[in-house]
Amino acid sequence: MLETWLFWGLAAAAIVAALAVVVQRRAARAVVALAALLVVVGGLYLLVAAPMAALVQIALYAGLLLVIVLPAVMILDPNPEPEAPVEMASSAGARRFGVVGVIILLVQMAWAFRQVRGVALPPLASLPDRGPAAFVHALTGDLAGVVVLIGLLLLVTTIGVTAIVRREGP
Amino acid sequence: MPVPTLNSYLLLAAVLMVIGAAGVFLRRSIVTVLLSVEVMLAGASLTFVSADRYLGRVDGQIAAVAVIVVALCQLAVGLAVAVLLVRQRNSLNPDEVADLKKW
Repeated sequence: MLETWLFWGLAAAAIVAALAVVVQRRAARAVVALAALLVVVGGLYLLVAAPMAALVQIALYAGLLLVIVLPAVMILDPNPEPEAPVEMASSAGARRFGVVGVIILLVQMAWAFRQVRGVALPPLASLPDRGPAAFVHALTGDLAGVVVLIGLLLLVTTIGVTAIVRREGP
Repeated sequence: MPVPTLNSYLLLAAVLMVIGAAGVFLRRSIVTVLLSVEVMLAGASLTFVSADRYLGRVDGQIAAVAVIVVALCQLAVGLAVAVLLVRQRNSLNPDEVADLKKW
């Protein structure tokens, strides 16, 4: 019963936070709304018994966003006109493309939901261990390649960001 | 209140995905566009984790962690491009960077 109420409460909070990210005028407030969304989604991860994903999501992702990305965005976009209307994409083509894209996405999802309607989640007691031990076991066993790929991605990102920011001239 | 099923989680993930997509297509500031992509990725990783709960495995959690790393890398590169945009054009509007169209 409590789980049901928690799910619907967190779902409503997630939708409000996601809308806040998209319609917020000031980029810095959008970053704070995104951090709130990530914490709420982390709560949903706990609800589906995924503690490691929740830990990484809340402690690393939301934390990094607030500690590192927020100051960077505040420097980048000081926003001298706080009362400016929400800036929409300027070209009519981009707006039309956006509306058509969202409609196509909605139709695809409506179709996908017809396939999984009313599939109940199995009771937790019937599932194998989903805690940190199982997570680490999978990460050091069958899925060790993921760690290698993540490391490679971080290396490429470091090189890329350094190259982009150091670039001079037009 | 109906008991949440797998469908409820997937529906919520889809709503997050659509809100993020609308932000990517409709907003003009490059920072907001980047943050909207993060909203889409949050929806994607929620799909992974709820499917992982349904199947009773941990692969979905690992996929979600990988998605988080990808999202942060994307944000880092995107912000670096935004810094360059402000430095060279003094603007955050991605529509102004259409130089490749002229070719």
